[in-house]
This record gives sequence, C-alpha cells and structure tokens, in this order.
Amino acid sequence: MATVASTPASKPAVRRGREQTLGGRQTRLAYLLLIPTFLILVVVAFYPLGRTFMASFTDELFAHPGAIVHNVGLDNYRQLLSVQIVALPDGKRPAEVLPDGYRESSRFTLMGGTYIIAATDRDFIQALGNTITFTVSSVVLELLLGLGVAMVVNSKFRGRGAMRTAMLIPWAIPTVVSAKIWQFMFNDSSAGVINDLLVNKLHILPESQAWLATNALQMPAIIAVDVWKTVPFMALLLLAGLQIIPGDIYEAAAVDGATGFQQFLRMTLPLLRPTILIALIFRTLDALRAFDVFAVLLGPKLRSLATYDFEKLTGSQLYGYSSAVGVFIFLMLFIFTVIYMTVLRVETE
Amino acid sequence: MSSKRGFSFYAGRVLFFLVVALIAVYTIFPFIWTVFTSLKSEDELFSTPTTYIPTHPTLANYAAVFQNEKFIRGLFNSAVVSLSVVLLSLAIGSFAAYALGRLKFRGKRPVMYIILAMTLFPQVAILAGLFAVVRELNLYGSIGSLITSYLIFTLPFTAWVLTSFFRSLPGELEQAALVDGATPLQTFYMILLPLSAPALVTTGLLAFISAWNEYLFALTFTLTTPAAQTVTVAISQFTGVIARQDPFGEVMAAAVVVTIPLLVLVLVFQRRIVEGLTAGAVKG
Repeated sequence: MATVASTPASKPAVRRGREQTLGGRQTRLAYLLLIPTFLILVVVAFYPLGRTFMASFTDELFAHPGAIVHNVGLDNYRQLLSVQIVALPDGKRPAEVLPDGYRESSRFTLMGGTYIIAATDRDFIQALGNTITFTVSSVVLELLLGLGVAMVVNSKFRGRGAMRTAMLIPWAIPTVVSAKIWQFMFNDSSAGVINDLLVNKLHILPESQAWLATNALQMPAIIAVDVWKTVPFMALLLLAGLQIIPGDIYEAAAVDGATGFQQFLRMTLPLLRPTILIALIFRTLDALRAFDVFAVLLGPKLRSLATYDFEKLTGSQLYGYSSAVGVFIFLMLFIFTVIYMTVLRVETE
Repeated sequence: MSSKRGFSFYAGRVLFFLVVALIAVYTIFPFIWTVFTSLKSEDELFSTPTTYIPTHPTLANYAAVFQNEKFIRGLFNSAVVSLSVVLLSLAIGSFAAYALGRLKFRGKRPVMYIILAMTLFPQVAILAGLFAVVRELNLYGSIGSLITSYLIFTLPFTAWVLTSFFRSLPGELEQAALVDGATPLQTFYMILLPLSAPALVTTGLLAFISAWNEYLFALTFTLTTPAAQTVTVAISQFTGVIARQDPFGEVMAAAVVVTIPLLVLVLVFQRRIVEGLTAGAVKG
C-alpha cells in the first residue's frame, strides 16, 4: 500500500488507476466544468444550426403549424442562387430576352454591348451585392480612418485622456439608437442636420437631398453611419497595438535619417500587422452580417443579407426558404472565419 | 542642436490641434445634437433650416417618454435580460475558463478553437432554427427567449476572455492551496475567483453592453408581444405619445434616456473596458 504521494521525479510504487491520479481528476473536473457550456451551446447554436440546415431542404412555412411540409431537395438553393448573364441587344426589351422566372438585377456595358445580370431571386442577389459593397467600403474606410485617428491620439497632448473618453461614446450608444439619430439627421429637407450643414453652412451641395430615399445616396448614407459608429472603436483597438511599440526605435531611426513617412511605412505598419489583422477580421465579419443599422435606417429600401433573411422568415413567412438563406450566410462567414483562423495561426506561430 | 521653432513648427501644431478638434467634434456632435433635439418643442423640430440650440427648450418630450408605457417596460425588460444573461455567462463561462485556463486535459485545443469560433458565429444564419428551439421550449414571446438566445454570443466571449485571464495568473497560489489539501474546485472559488474580480467586472460589463444592444433576436422573438420587448425594439417601434407622426422629439429623448446610463457605465469603467476589448482582440 503506497501512501506516499508520488513526485514527478519518482515512479509510484503502485500504479494507480486513471481516476485517482491528479491528472485523471483534473480531466474529470475539466469535463464536468465544461458540460454546462457545451449544453448551452448545443441548445442555442449547434442544434438550431442543424435545424436550419434541415429546414433549408423543405418548403416549410413560418407559424403554420399543421401544414404539410414537403422535402424540396435543392429547389430553395436553386431559386436562391440561379444567376445568368444575358445579352441585351439594341432595341430589345429585357422581358424579351430574360428566361422564365428570371428578373433583372442589374446591367452593365462591356465593349459596346449591354448585358443583364438576371436572377431568379433578384432581391437576394441585390442584398448580396449591397452587403458586399457595404462591407468592403466600410471596412476599408474604417481601417484607414481608424489608423489615422489612432496615430493622432497616440501622440501626447493635453486632453488626450478626454479624447479617448469621447471616442467611446459612439460605441456605447446602441446601434439601433444611433441609426435612429442618423435617420433624423438625414432628413430630406434642411430640417435634417446633414443637409443643413452641407447646403447652407458649408455650401458643398447645391440643394438638400433625400438621402434615404435616393438610390444612389442610400449606400453612402449607411456607410457614413457605420463609419461614425465604428471608427472610434477601431482607433482604440489600433491604439492599443500602437502603444505596445516602444518609442526608442523611432528615435534610432530618426538618427539614421529616416523620415516620418519612412518610419511609418517600414516600422509602424509591420509592427502593427497583427492588430490590424484582428481588427480587419472582426470588422469584416460584423459588416457581412450587419442587421441593426440596415433594418432601422433603410428597412425595405435597401436590404443586407441579414435583413433579407429576416424578411423572408418573418415577413414572407417562408421558413424553409429563409433557412437556405441562413445556410448561405453561415457558409460565407464560415469560409471567411477559416481563412482568418489559418492566417492568424500562421501569424502567431 | 538648433531648436526648430520656426513657422513650420507652429503651423504643424495648429494643424494637429485642428485635426484633434475635428475628430472630437465628429465623434461627439451627433450625441450633443440628439440632446438638443430632445429639448425642442414639436413645431421647432422640423423647422427649415434646422435649429441647433433650441430656442424654447422644453422637457415635454421627456415627460412624454416617461409616460410611454412600452418604453418604460422596454427599459425594465432590457435590464432584466441583460443582467440575467451577464450573471449566467459569468458563472458558466468562468467554470469553462477554469477548465481551459488552469486544468490539463485531452482535447483542450479543439475545445478552445470551438469557443473562439463561436464568438464569430453569425446569429442571423440560425434565426430560423433558433426560432424553432424557442418555440419548442415554450419561450416564444417571453424574455426567457432572449435570456437563452443571448448566451450564444455572451457565453463564448466570456469564456474566452476569462480563459486568457486565468492563464495569465501565476500558479503558486493554487499549488500552495493544493499542498494544503484543497481540491481543484475549492482553489477555484476560494482563490481564483476573488483574484479575478476585476476581470469578471470588465467581462460582465462588456457582456451587459452587448446584450443591451441586441436587436435581431429581440425583434424576432418579441415583435408580437409588446410586454416582453426590450428597449431596442421599443425605440425602433416608437409611436409618440404627444406627436402623431414621426415623433422624433420623443425618439431623441428616448435615445438620451437609453444612452445616459450606458455612457455613465462606460465613462466610469472606460479604462477597464478598453483593456478588456483590446485584450480579447490583441492577445487573440
């Protein structure tokens, strides 16, 4: 009967079973501690994901208990994703060239000929396009502006603390609330602050615009709202990365004759790369699934993938179909996440 | 070494402060404008061109907002939901974080990756499936649906941040406790947890803000049951008490009421918050 606890250096006189070693106890305890977390994740994440996936192959309707649900195979996906590019010869109307069931999503000209991008679900393709445009524009803008603001706030000046406090304000305001605020600010006439500033005070524009009602202006407007909300947060994130960089390397570089710009390009940016990468990934994923700002600011006028999915589920009540949309969104973000994890792991190795 | 105090130096400084002022104004202006708007009387709201500082400031909008039952109810619901979610996430998340951060076991790495991936999970993708779950659990139209579904983003986040925090704690205290005969669980709640109080506060705060902020689930699960709506839904569906259409004055007053407590929280805890946000991100 060995009663002495074994130290790492000595072999135990008696081999204990897995349960009784400290390692075994740790393992058991660890699994026990993780059970609640996994239980919850199964209930609110994995199971709904499976349910959504299964439902995407059906024609199930929302809030229609008792209706017969049919398996429709890939029909939902076909309806969602069928896209064709059709040539539009001069003199012909789109209706004459478009295949059955297809509607025009947008058109472009190439080498003198006009082509129509047609889809069976035109609204989805447009929502997809909107989301991608929104994501690319806002992420690029937010990264550049955020970097600029971070560099500015990084310098020592009086009131820097107050500045950093002020920068938390847009982040602290709920997205829905800021969307409502900006909705009012974008009011059509000069009762809207944006119009008043641009037209009357700064004389940049000749007359007031109906920002949220004009097709061409809707995207810039919503990007402006997102930029306002997010740039301070991005700046704070990048600022944290900047402050890790020791200051003496800049002094050494200056002694060697490097200009400020060269210092920025050759030293700051590379050292900031991990932080930039993380900020980039988070913002991109957030932008791809943007819901709040689209729902409140533009509603049905301009849809993102998320508001489109929501409308299909709660408005059109197409449970099965919206599940297909959901699966699409999930796959899109999943692929991106995988790319992210791979790149990040490469960074940290 | 001549000190370059020429024109270019001062011009540079002036430019710098101009930029700082611009950033400050850009950041704060919408909120200040909201406060001013909330103090305007109804006729002044839509005057063209718009006025900035109200000519006859009035508290009528605030009075209306506090008489707005749906809104007050929304505030209450949001508070209950957010608080519950935070407490649950902290409790369950800290258990998981202890396992991931201090214990050795097989399969730790995949578990950590799963939890990290969960923080990036797109909620909207599973909206349909989650709706089915909520209905099957008989939670539709109640704040229970929100408390449950919010865990999808608060729990992984809490677990992840607390894990990296626990990992950073020195191990001597635990080892000393173990030598004294404490079980791992005892070291957890007698030693680790008290040490983690600041991290728990920060994480809880961030989780609170994200729960308070949430709109998609709240809209989906409580749209037809006003009694359970949170304040985000209430504000987006705002119908005025005194104004008839586009009650923007009241909406702005409501916006101020919703934002002020959050702002106070953020301002008081700002250092913690910034640390928490960046620690989660920068440390990866």
